[in-house]
Amino acid sequence: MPVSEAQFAEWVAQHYAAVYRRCYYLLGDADEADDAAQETFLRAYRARGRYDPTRAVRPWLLTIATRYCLDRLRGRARHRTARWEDAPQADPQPGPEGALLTAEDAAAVRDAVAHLPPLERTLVVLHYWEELPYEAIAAQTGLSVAAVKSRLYRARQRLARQLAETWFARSDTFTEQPQ
Amino acid sequence: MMAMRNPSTPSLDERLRAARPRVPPPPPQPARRLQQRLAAHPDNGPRGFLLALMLAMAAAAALLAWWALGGPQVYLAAQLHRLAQGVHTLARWSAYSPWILALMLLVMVGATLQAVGASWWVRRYCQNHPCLDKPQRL
Repeated sequence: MPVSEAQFAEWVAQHYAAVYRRCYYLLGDADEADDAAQETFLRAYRARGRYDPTRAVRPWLLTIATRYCLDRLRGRARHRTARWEDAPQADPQPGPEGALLTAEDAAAVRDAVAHLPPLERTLVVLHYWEELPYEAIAAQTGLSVAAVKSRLYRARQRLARQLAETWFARSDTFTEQPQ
Repeated sequence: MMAMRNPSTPSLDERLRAARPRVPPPPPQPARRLQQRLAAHPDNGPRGFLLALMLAMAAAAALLAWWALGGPQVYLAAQLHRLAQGVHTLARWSAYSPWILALMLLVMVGATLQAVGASWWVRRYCQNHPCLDKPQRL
């Protein structure tokens, strides 16, 4: 049965926030995330004839969003790297990990994530920020579970190296006393 | 010797989770903006398909007319003759030195690689260009 206009409008109302959040996590810029969320729903609207009603709609929308954002990240890889600005207190529950890092450390971690290659950045975001299981990540990115695990391992290594350099450089700055 | 991590310092996994950014609220009225966007970019799939069909039919008609005028026989014969001449020349040259044949093969392989590389680059460059209506990936 084809998806009606009313049903699609309901999807927009119900899932826009989730799609927007996914786009924001992946792209790191609020305006771009909104544009990507709009494009996601536009594509979903055009592809609604191929939607399988036996499956949940949110993963379907998030898959479109993830692949679109990944394409966008790949397209801009050589031009610029958007970072997640510290937004005003929009998230009412920062979570138990909130107190683990200072704002400066969190910014350094996000900066390192922003400098990862597009696919690794996407996998890190889906695994650590969206907390998706490997199978869901594989389904949404079109990779195998084994490929997801190995790419994540490589991303972690790259991040550890980059963060070690950052913190080492910073500790040098702090320990040097002006004469 | 394995480096021991100080238990009071968070692990990389913990750091990554803790660095999750706060999400700013999305702009209001997404449905209305989506409607405006849909109106501005109507789905031109069927129209594009019809245009492609018309072009294909026009090309088929032109080919048919060319065939009726005796084009292919003349054209194919000329091309085959040219090809035979080329092969003959190549054979004559390679009789002087096999290196000429190797060079020719190298040029041909190079040209193929260049064509593949160029098409890959164009595809990558055009991937996110707004002028292209990309096919859906789902």
